[in-house]
Amino acid sequence: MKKNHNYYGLFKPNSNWHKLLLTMKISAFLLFCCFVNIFAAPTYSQSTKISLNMKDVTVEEVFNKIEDVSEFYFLYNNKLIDVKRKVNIEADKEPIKDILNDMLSKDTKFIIYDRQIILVPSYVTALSAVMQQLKITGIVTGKDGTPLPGVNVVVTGTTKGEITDIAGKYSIDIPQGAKSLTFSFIGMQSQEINIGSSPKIDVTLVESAIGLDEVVVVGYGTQKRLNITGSVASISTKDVKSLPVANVSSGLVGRLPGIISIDRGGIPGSTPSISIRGFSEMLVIVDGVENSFNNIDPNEIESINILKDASAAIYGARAGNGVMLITTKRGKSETPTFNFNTYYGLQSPTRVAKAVDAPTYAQMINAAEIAIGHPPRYTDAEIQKYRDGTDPDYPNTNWYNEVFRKAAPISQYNLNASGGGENVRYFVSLGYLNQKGLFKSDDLGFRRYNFRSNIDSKITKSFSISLDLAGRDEFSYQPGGNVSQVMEDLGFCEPTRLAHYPDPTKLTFNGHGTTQPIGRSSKEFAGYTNQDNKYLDASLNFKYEAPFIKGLSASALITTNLIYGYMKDWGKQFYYYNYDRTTDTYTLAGVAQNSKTQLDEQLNRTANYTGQWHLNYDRTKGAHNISALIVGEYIDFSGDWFSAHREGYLTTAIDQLFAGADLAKNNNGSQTQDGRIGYVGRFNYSYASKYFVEVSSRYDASARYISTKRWGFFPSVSLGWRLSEEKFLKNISAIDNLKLRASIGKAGNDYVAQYNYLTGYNFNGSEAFGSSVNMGLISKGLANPDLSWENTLTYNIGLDGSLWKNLLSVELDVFYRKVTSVAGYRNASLPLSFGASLPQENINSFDNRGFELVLKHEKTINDLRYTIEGNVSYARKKWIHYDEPTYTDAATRERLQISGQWDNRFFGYKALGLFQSQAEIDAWPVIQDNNNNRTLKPGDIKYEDYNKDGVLNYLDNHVIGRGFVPDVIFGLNLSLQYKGFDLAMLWQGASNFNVYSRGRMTDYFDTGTIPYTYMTDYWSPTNTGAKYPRLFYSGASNNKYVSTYWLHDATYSRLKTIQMGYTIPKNLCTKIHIKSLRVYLSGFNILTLDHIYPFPMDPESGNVGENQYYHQQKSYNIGINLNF
Amino acid sequence: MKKNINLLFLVFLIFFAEGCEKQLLDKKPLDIITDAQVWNDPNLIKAYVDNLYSRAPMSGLYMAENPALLITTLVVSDEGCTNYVWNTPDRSISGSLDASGGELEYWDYTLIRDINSFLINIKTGTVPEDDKKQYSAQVRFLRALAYFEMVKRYGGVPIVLKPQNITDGDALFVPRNKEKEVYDLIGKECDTISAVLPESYSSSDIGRVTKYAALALKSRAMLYAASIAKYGTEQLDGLVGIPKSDANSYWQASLDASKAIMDDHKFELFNKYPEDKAKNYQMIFLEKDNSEIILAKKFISKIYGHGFDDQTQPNFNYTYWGGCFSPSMELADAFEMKDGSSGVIDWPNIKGQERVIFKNKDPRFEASIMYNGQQWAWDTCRIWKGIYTETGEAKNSETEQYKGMDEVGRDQKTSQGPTTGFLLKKFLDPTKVFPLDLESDQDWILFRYAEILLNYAEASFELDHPDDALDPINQIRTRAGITALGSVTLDQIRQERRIELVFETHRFWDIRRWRIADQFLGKNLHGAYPYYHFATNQFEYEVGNADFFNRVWKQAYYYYPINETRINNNPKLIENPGYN
Repeated sequence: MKKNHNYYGLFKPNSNWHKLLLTMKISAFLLFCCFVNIFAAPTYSQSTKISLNMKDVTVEEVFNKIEDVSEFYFLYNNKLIDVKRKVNIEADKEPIKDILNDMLSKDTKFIIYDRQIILVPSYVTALSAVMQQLKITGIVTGKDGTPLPGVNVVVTGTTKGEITDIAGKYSIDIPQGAKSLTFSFIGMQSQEINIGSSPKIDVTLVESAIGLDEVVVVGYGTQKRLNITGSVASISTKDVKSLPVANVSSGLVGRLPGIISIDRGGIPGSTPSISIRGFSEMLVIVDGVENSFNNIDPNEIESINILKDASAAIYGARAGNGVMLITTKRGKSETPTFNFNTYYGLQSPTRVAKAVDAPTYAQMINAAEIAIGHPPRYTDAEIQKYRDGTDPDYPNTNWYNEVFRKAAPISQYNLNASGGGENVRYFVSLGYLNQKGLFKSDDLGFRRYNFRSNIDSKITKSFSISLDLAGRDEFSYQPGGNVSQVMEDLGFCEPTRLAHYPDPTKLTFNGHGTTQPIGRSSKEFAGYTNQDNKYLDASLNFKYEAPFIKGLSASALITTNLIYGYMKDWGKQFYYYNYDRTTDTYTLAGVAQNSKTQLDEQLNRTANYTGQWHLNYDRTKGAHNISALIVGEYIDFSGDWFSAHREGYLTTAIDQLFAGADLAKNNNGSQTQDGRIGYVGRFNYSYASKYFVEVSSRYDASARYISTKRWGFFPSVSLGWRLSEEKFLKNISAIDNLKLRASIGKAGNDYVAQYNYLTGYNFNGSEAFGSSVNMGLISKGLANPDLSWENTLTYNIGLDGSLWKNLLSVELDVFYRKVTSVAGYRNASLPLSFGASLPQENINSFDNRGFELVLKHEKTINDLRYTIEGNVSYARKKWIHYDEPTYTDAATRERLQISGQWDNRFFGYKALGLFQSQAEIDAWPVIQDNNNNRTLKPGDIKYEDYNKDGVLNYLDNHVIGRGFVPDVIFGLNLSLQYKGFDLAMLWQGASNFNVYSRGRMTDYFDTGTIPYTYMTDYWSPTNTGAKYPRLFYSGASNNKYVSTYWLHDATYSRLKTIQMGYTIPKNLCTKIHIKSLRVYLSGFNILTLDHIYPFPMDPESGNVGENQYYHQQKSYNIGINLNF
Repeated sequence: MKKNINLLFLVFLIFFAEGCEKQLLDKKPLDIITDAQVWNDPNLIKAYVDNLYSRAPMSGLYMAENPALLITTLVVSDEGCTNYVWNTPDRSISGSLDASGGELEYWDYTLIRDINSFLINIKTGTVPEDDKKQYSAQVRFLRALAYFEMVKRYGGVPIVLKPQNITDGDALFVPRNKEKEVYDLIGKECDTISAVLPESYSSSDIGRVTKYAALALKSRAMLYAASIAKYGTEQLDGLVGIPKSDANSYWQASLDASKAIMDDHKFELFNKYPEDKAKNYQMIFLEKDNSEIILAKKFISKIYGHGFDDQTQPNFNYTYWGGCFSPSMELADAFEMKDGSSGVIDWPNIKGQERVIFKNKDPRFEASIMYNGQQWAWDTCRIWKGIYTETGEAKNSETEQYKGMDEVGRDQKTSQGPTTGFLLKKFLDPTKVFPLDLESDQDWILFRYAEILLNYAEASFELDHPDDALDPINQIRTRAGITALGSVTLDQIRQERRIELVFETHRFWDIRRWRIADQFLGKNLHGAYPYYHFATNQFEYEVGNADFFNRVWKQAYYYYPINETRINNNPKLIENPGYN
């Protein structure tokens, strides 16, 4: 039972225990009694004899003395029991029972369970004895339908209570007049249920978000939320499971404050980048060791915790950007539980740019031709034919629809089982994901198979072993042309061209010298690229609880993470044809752009071995709690790859290496290695659950640096203070909990160049002489023996509070981080004539600042339970020092200087709208085209002359906006449950960032592309209010300057997920012999509010303004969670 | 049992802690070769030299699919236009080139440093002295070539001949040398190394620098220096410009270098196909290692090839873009007739098949410029922009035919169609059908004998020996298949250079050093677009503007800007006139 030891830790044997009871109240008290009954043998009290001799002391002092000389400890509510009463006591080797009988007054009665002594007013039982009893029974389950044993069920307002059994069942006698029952369980939200006429009350408990007893995974261990002094964001199994997304990180943004997950396109199998507080990529630890996590089956995950401040420093040189800790599920000692979860969804782009249709295209071409004095290219009659669509020689093709389908299916299945007895526990899981891509050819997609087996076994009383095995097979496939190539091709496809001939094996010509995208997106024509990655993680963990020193334990962990990656890239040369309709003959017209029959295969292997030993000490004495940890960690990494290539295939029938010609065959390969050692120490002290101190440090070494710069020391300190435990707040009943936290810690970031301390030469740059090619050798450049990791110093102040019995809870963190010795190249301050390729040096520095705020309200009203949680975070980075020349004049500084400036700035000109007439151009004093504005025409963009020198040029560049990563992220979670129904919604948004459109998005016929529909609103003398400049062919560079005209505020909010579920009633489940069954419908990214319109860009697309990528996806899903 | 487990655990800890450190942390990179290994190993020294060759500015044909430098250099001159926007040096052309820098930049001090390092390091090794001398001479040529590429753009640049040390402090900030000093350096280096380098190599080493390559570089560089002295203006205390008084010594130095090559008779004008002058001229650039080539950068199809054909062939043979460059009508007109008369065509009034129209033009026209109706690969080139019916109705639908004839010629149809009515033919390989990137293997000729003759002629004329200029000019004209001259003028020498070296990236630099760019640049180029007239059954021509923006020339453009970034990096650098 997981909760068992948490609760053990909460009831520390100390005389101030009543302070805890303010929050836990009598319910915990009884819960405790129950557990003791179940798990402990009550023999100690009978065998122990105590001697005491105290005069004129308070009862409380006697209790303290007894606690000191014995293992007994006392539990009581000081509002009900008078412990300040003075007594005299004399005892010589008497049983505890006798001592207490002598000492306590008549109105107090005691119960002894093993070493625990519980004091209650004597009227408690006296009253109940005369009551007429009514019996209520029921079953208490978790949200997923699993029965919850050990739940405290109490008649509201009394001490009368019971505990649920191993099957979650309870039976309680109800005194007359009782109105409701309160159900509580540590880590869960308490519920009060009115007693009706039914003798049966079934209850589902949900976890409480800021449960003080919730166990949070921290570096190399766990801590209760109560004890945490750092900034740790957590998400637990229930939230992870309800994400109908292929990868976990897509689902985290908006749920955890401070998380930035940037999804630059939803290609199957791709994973978005994830970071916190605007930092770079963070370290990811899965079950204690560094690993990749993105394609882990969400069903295997128990919790995700993110260490944002000094709490990360325990990971030393890798921890500067925060640490994400993923914990997988483990078995519990309970009856076997089987879960089957599945969903099926349809994915489609959030928004798609549509190209103009054939008649519109012809009209726009004509207008552009006329504008430069050329005759129109299409006659009115032809345009009409395109419009009519009756003449097969005048097609009106929507090429996008020829290549893409409307929606692509995704489905996932997971079956897992968990359970076990006292000695062996297990969690085993098997999963399958199948995600298809949007190509009509069905040749794009991703499949994943995964399994996990986490086994814990207790060998002796003090010695246990865990063996975890997990494997994944990820298979992604795409046609010979990748998505961005196909998207690029689409841009050139003239709608006035046919997409198909009668013979589907003969490709048409798309009007341009690029490949026809129908061919490129198809395996049949263009070949394919397959990537198959196999992951195997194995971990063996030995745990030993030293019987000779109480509180001392040790463990050792050995882990291997192996990755085998295999890529096969089979390219086929393919052609397109001309077709003579009258004779039904095809003639070869050309070969597709760079298409070539060739085969590339590549094999990658990486192996990561981690060894860890832990020494752990945890002891509570009176109000003092001490824990200490020492860890040694050893990491060995190696990787290699090789590849083979052949071309000159006589036939495309055999896609194997042997079938290629000998002539241009090629192969390649190399090896890499890395190593790391860390020694970790951590010390925690807390007093009376009120004051907390944590000191940790890591002595860390990395093979990347020269031996003298290899070792670093990374200390951190954090403090916590629960104000709510202080006298001046204790009696304010509105305050459940109020804690202040502060931390400071040093960590590093070692993602800098490896082996920078060595000079030397690499093979590079061949050259041909005669008829052969000679290898070239090039200097690696200068060495920097001093290079080391970047140092980060993070300050964090936080506040956790909960008011009115969790009706409102708040979590606030404010941070400042200073990163010094940032690796950079001293290129800018050295003259280019120096000529050496410079090594990285620890020369730059920057800082980040920001805050995260979470507000949560949750309430249960009979069958209705709801939660509203809002979070907002802000983070921004500023360069303190950046290696650059000393700029002497203010204007140059403003334009170029980076030091002392915000990091995310966007430079360009300010657009002032469009010129409406030639007279306006003539009167415009600013020369925009270096040619006395002779090339400007009405409908061109007018710009501000920022430096007022009469000429628009690079000197007018200035900050016109922010970059592509948001400063502000916010999320709003709403969830409600009513009887079997549940509804959850996550709104997510971001602000203070931009997207920029360029290339085809801004240029009507950029290098021969087809305009988008929104561009039909172009300026002309008859459409002077147009949104876009005059029609222009390539070359009107005035309209393509980087300016505010094409920069868009990307602030958005979107309905990231919505999920509606229904859980089949219990009695129905019993009939069909299952434990629970839930059916749900969900949507992902289905609604977005922003003002980028009419530019068809997703606000999360960032700087991919040319639209040549696989679009962000939305999806609709249906799924079930079955438990049996 | 319990005891055993305790023991096991202890062993475990020891196993981890013991001796791990060295094994885990003393890792070495697996791809680095040390100094000591390189400078004692002849194979590695050669590999180092060969890498320097690969980075030296020796090719107009870029390795990737983009023939950027060649096309850029042609488009900034008056030789033609491109509709490849990303190849367009529009800042230089449209007049917006400013101190923020622009196209055709070349500032490769990394190469120079690696050469300087080589010259010091080679001395430390144990390889034979003669090898050291030979390799040193080769890389000094590459360094001189790099300085030449810089001086012709920027005027005087910092001369750095030793690898600097990062601790050198203020000395790292090297100011610009005078333009004259850079040319003098090139001349002196060529003198020194031409005395060391061999006259030729065995077949496996063809492509390396010979004595004659060094002399050819000197011949060209001194010609540049001489014309800048004579026609240019000294400014910024000699950072740009050369004293007029030095002109004659440079003419003489160029002449001497040319004469040294001519007198050794190791090279001759290619004349393998005397019966077909056009083919003969065409094959100069396709037959590898022929008698005219002094130095060429070597290419090998597929394994060390380029994408010139892929980019430049007419559209009907394209695999990707094709047709990336279109020679201007002005250039077409500059080709004389075979009899030496003016080649200017009265386009609006001429009718007929081009093969007839151009029949009497200089055969180099046929070999250099692709026009409508010309045979290419397996088909004829079809570049017409429209047709006129018998009744004079204009038709130019890309999808329609009129009486069995496409209304728009196939090779004109797409947006990659020629922008002038012509396409580039010189250098193109007619055997490449559906050429792919990296499949082209034409060597890029840096120096060929014809240029030496032209350099000689120009220097002789400028030194007041017009008689000496006549023979080399006539050698070239005779080989080309047009009438020899009786006497020669400076304009004729320049005209011959324009035609003989067309598209070889000389034109832009020549009109700059002669300071006559303002006559040719800064005005838009034209196309002569064929239209078929059914009334006459003939092609007729319409002249039109071929540039999609207006060309602007500024006096400042005789030098490129040093540019803001370089000056910010090194405040001792002074910007060229007209850019502040």
